[in-house]
Amino acid sequence: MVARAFVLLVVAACAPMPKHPIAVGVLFDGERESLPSRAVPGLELQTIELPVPAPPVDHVTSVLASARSAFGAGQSDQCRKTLRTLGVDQLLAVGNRAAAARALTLEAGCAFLANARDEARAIAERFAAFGLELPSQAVGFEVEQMIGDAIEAANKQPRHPLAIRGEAGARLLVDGLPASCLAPCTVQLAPGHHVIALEADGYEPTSRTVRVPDEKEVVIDPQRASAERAAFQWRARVGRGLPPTDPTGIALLGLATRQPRLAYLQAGKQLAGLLIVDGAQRATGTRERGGGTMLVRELAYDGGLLQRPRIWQRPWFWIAVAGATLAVSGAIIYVTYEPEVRTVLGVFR
Amino acid sequence: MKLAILLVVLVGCEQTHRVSIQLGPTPDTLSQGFLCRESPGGPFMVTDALSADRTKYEISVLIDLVELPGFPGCRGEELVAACNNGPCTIARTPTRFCASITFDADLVPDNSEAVVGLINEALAEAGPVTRDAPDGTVVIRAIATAQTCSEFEANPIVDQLVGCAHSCPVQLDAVDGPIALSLDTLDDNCRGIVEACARFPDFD
Repeated sequence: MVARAFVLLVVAACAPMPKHPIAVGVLFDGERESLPSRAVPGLELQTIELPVPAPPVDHVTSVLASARSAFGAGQSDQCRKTLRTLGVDQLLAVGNRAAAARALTLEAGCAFLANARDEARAIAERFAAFGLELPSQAVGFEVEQMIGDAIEAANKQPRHPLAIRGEAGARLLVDGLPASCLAPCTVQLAPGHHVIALEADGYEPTSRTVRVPDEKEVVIDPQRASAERAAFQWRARVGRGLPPTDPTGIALLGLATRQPRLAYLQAGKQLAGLLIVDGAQRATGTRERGGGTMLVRELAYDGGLLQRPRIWQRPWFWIAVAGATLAVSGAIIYVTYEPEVRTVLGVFR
Repeated sequence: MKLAILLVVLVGCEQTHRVSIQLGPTPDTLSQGFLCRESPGGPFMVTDALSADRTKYEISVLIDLVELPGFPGCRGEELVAACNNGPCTIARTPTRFCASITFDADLVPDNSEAVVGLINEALAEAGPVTRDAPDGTVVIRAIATAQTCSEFEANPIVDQLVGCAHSCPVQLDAVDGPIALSLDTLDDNCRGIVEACARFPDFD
């Protein structure tokens, strides 16, 4: 450790250094190592963690239960008011078809209970257009009959094309069901309202509600993923067995850490490192476990963040020169040296 | 790091080199310079060192290093020429080496080897002449006198000289093996040469 520190110090003294230290984030995957901020001269290191999203609060179940309770108590207005706090389109956008089906079924039942037959009928048609399935919980024979008739009518309707434009290769959900194609593509839909959702790594999930056949094309332009979203997507990819540092993984790490320069260090049998600059891989390297500092330094050299010292700027060069000079001088002195002679004169026994 | 330490050790290293002195051509003989007679057929100069009761010889041996310019040859005339061309000085190392030796008179002349052994033993006991000889060219000169060391140092008396011998010019750092002292004489009537040897590098 002392020898390494000495070498790094001498290298720092010899090699050209940037005017201001370059900030580099360091992300450990696996066992972490101690890495002081100034461990590598010329760099300002900051060990970072991937953000962990807050656990989602499930209010859907409680809302549905509350609405169900109001419906059972005959409180149609309370039931409809409670259900309005749920966004059926948002439920379908995340694929929660069961909750959407229960919400629409209850809403139709509450409307029917309030003698708003037209409203109930419209809700039933919406239910049918989404292609939902009746939930097991009953809301009354008339309402279920109404919904069944709407489903039958919808099934008889001709399908109409809807062109979906969006981030190329993004996954698509149509009314909560995975589409049979990736964006951009065209799907065939029954007349009525439909929820089109788009999911892509590096982007926030985005949805649009369209009316077919009035709208023949929908363009979904998602926003860049937040740090939490990007971290979630990265973890999900790794969980699916995808390489953590393929081009998509690298881009997600950049979004997740918000670091223009990131050193990703993965601890295995050895320590593998990757330097990511502006979302692109710049350098890779490996070192033995415990060699985090040296690995980061080498990545910085290979990635162009630091200038690798010339041979005469390396301490070992001058050590070798000094050693050779000393050896040659020693040899010359040894060969040519004539020590002082001190003569003792006398009569000796 | 190890290499740096090795270099430091090499730089700070010194080689210690020992050179021994022989007072004669072999380890157990004396130079003719210590066996001169006062006059042709006369007594040996060493008799001046007999004790009052004539049972012992009491001698002091002084050993000097005389620094010379250049690297002259061993002949007397070459030494004279060298000292005429540049300064010849006695190296202070830091004090003048002097050892006192006493041996029984009946050891002379039959047991000369024992005498030489006693002299060498006494000189070895006195320690080295110098622990850091000069780097340049030197002549090692040994004077034997009947005076004590302090007497000779204060006031050397020529009549009390017992003998003298010297080496050829040498660079001690480069010498391997012992250095034998000698006196360039063809017979034992060599008092004059002994005196000249003792006066060196002064020629007057």
